[in-house]
Parts: sequence; structure tokens; C-alpha cells
Amino acid sequence: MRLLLLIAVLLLYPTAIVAESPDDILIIANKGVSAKSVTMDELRAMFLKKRKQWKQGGNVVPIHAKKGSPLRHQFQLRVLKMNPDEEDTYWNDQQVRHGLGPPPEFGYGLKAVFKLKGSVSYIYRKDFREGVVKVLAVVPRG
Amino acid sequence: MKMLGRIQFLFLLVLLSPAARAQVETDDTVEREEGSRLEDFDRRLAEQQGLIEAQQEQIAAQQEALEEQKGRITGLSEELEAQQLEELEGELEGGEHKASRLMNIYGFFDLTFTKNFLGDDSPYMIATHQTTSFVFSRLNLYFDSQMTETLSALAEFRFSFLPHGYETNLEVVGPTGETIPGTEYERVDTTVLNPVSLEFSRTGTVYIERAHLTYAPFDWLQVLVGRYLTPYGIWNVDHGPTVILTTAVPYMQIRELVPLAQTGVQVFGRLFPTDRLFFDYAITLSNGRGPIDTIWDLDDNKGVGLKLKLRYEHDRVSFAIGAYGYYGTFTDIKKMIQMEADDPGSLSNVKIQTTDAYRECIGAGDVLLEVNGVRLQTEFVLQYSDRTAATLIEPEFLRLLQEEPGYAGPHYYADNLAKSYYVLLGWELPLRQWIGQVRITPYAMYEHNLSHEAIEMLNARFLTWGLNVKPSPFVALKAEGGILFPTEEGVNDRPKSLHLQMAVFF
Repeated sequence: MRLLLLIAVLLLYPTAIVAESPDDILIIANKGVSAKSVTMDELRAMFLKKRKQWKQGGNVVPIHAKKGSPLRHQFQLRVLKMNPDEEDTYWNDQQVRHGLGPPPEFGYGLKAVFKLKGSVSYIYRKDFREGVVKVLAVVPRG
Repeated sequence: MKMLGRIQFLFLLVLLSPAARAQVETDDTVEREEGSRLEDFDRRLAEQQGLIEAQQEQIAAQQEALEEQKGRITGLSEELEAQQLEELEGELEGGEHKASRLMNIYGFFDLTFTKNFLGDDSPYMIATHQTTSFVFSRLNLYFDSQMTETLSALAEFRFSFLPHGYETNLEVVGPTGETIPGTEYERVDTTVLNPVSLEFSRTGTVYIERAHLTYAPFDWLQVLVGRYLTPYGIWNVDHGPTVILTTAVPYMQIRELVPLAQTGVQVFGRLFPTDRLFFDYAITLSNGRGPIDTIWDLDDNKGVGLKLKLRYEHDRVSFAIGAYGYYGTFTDIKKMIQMEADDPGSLSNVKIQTTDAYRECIGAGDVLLEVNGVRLQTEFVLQYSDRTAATLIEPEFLRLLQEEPGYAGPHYYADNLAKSYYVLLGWELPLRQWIGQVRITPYAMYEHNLSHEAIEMLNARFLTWGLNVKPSPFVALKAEGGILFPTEEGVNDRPKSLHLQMAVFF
């Protein structure tokens, strides 16, 4: 009976068996943002400035981690699907085409997202503090 | 015998005692020397230890100072970030402008080493030269500012050495060897002498590519006012040498089958049918095309355009298909003052005479497919121009002059349907694991142009191939060869070209 119950739980909640890692990347947003979740495609569009508004309304303020930081590098690879040089090339091209520059970057993403309305950023799970910002998605450690 | 033994013993003793004494003395000396060396060693050791301790104290002091500096830097960094956060926050709260909004300045330029291989009597020498040359064709500077969350401005300027060196007129020699009047060779020379320093300088041009204000309250509705690049195709938007694969834009751009830029208003936006699908639209309203459209429209008819584009993106695959339609009129005029016989001094009778006019209807399409570094793009343009005023065509006029010296009759410019397309294929080679971040893309392009049904020399087909190497995101190095296939009958020359270009973004 207990075995059947365990199997049922595992089938219904497969993510329960995935262990959380402190190096998972949490996608965080200001508490004023109405969205409860965000897809990777949507997130990518926001950080590449192809989408400037939340689906639920309000302007998106994407905030990057500092250039060259391991967190930024992981985000580039796992979400933007680019390496650092490719991201530089993308923004150089966007500036030539549209005069569009990259999002701002801050060393303290949690603090920035806490303060800025409409903002979205990313931090390691180990840096997360409950009640400060909302989590929209998790990018598991690769 | 015993006595002898004793005497021998004593003798031996006496003999040995100096040696023994000497030995003892030597031992003493050695001992003293050893002792002295040890003392010396101890002293030096103590000195070294003292030095080490002093150095350790110094290091500790430096580390303390370093920690203090780090603390100060962290503090400054936090202060700066807090300031930046405040500025961003201010933008979001009612869009209030914060003081000291920074303007971004950046740009690009390129240098091309070029060699055209033309026949000695090639008609294409009208437009170019056949000697090898380094060509610095442009320096573009951008000034952009995000004034508030929804308001931004952009200006792009092109600096050029032109019109210096521009050939404004060619000498035309008739079959009898006489120069046709009014056809002397002329070339612009902008060399001027500074009357103070007595230095010679060659002046150039500053050309405004675009300058506009954008108001973007929503993704789906944005308004742009000013001088803007026509939002059509792929190349007209890319337009910078660090962005485009080839060394030059395609012939359809050079012939401006679609107006490359317009002065007026553009309403545009983006919708998201799904997270991976982008639907763009743009409506353009402008002065249209004209001889001075950048500053004045010489007719009341405005040019209108509509762009639609659908784009799909996912991971390393993207596909886009777009179209742009445009309708407008071109008008050129001259002003005359009609003097009255009874009042010859009066300047009040100003007449406007139309010297050229046509309506044009343009349809353009573009397709771009990118899959794992392979890029396939194509564009086509159909431009129909319907002449509404008689215009003299210079080549036709010259031909008629040759046949009938003194010819003074008109010749009408016919309606025209221009057609042009190109196909470009490029492949960014997957060599990252061997050459790091250097990007190498071989490419090839075919173009087919029928710009003018009456003037064959304006029509041609091109085959271009080359290699684009990006050693960094800021530099593109290109090596390109090309062949032009004329469509005009009787023209046997097939000009070839070689271009080596360095394009820089800064």
C-alpha cells in the first residue's frame, strides 16, 4: 500500500525527485509584477529587448548580472543560448540597426529587483531571501 | 732496562706533549672558530628573523590597507549602484527625467582595399576606376539617448570625404573627333587653403542618415517621427558593414528601387501570437521620394507604406518572412519669374513648372532562414513607375543629337517596371572548439537586376563570393571576389572585382 502511494506521488510530482541545487538559477521579479511565471522564450525575448512589456501589462526592466561574472555566463548559456562574444555581437548589431543597447547590469540583483518596479533578473538559489522578491522560474543547474 | 724504558717513555712524552699541546691548541682554535662561526650564524639568523618579522608586519599593514581599499571600493560601488537604481526608479515613476541623462555615442567605419578588373574600353569605367586603391568610404556616428522609459531619440550621421573626387561630367567626343559642347570633364575638388596657417585641407560631407524621436508606450504601438530608414527588407535595416556579410550592399539598394529613408512619421509595433512568434507591422507616412525630400516635399501627395513581418525563433533556428508595399509620387520643379512687359521690375509673378513627375508603386519581400549557423536570405523588389510628365533622358538626347545635330525636340521617359532580387547563402563554420571565439563565415550571393527597361547599362547580374572573419565582436574582416554579367547586348566586358575590407564597430 505504501509502495503504491509512493509510486503515485512520484508519477504525479516528478519534479519532486529532482534535487534542488544552490547553483540553480532563480528568475526573480519585483513583487509588483503580476506575472506568476515566465517561459524561457519569453525571458530570452525580454533580455534581448525583443519584448518590452509583461503579458499582463507594465514595462519590463531586465537587469543583468555583472559582465564576466559566472552567474552572467551561466544565464547567457542556459537562457540566451549565447556565449559572451555572441551576446556582444548581438548588441553591437542591434545598436547599428536600431540604436538599441543592452540592459543595465548590477552586482546585487536581489536588491535591484526589490527596488525597481517591473524588473526581472536572476540569482543563484543560495543567494535567495524569502519574501523579498517573487520567483517566476527556475533554471536548473546544467 | 727499566730505566731505559722510563727514559724512553719520558722522552716520548716530552716529544709528544708539544704535538699534544699543539693538537690541543688546534682543537681549541677549531673550537673557538666553530664557536665564532656559530655566533656569527646565530647573529645573522637573528638579523634575518628580524627582517622577516619586519616584512611580515609590512605585509600585514598592506593587507589591512588593501582590505580598507576594498571596503571603500565596495562602498563606492554600492553607492554608484544605489544612484543608478534611483535613476532607473525615477524613470519608472511617472517617467520623470532625471538630471545628467547620459547620451550614448558609438559608430562604425570601414576601410576597403579594392581592385576592379575592367577592359580598357569598358563602359563601366564611367562609374569607377580600375587602379588598386585603399578606399575609406564612410564613418558613421550614432548618438542615442533614452530620455524616459517611453521616450528615446536617435541620430545617425555619416562622415564622408565626398564630394571630393566625384566626377560630375564626362567629356563626350563625337565620331568626327569633336567634343560635344557642354560635355567637358569635371571633377569636384574641395581643396581649400587656410589663410591663417596656409595649410591645404580637403573638405568632406556630414550626411544625416536618420534622426528621430520614438515614443514607445506599448510593444504593439510605437510612434517614430523624423528622418528614418525605410523599414523594409533585411539589408536596409542591417546597413552597417559590421552587420552585413558582404563588403557592399546589393545593387537593388544602390539603385534605390525602394526609398532607403523617408522624412515623416512611422507607426509601428510588435505582437506575440506565441512566445516564439513575433509579428511586426509598420505604417509609414512621409514626403516620399523627391529631389529634396529630406527638407521639402514638392507636391502635396505623401508617400505611404505598409510593412508586415512574421518571425519565428527558437534556440539556434529562426525564420522570418516579410513584405513592404509603398505608393508615392515624385515631382521635380523649377521656379520662374515671369516679368510683365508693363512692369519689368516686378518680381510678383512667380511661376512653378514641373520638370519631372511620376507615380510609383513598389512591392518588396524578404525571407531569412537561419539554422545552426547556416544563413539563407533573399529579397526581391518590383517597382512600377508611371510617368506623368515629359522628361528628357540624357543618353537618348545625346543619341538624337548625334543623329541630328541641333536636335532640340523632347523625348519622353517611358513608364518602367524594375525587377530585382538576390539570394545569399552563408555558413558560420562550427570551428569553435579549435579556434575559440573567432567566427568564420564563407558566403556566396547571386543578384539579378532589371532596373530600367530602356537603359540596358543600368541592368546587370552579379555573382559574389567571399569570406567573413570576425576575430572579435567589434571587428569584421572580409575578402570578396565578384563578377558582373551585363545584360546589354554588345557589351562583352565582364568586370571582376577583388575587395579586402576591415569593418570596425566602436
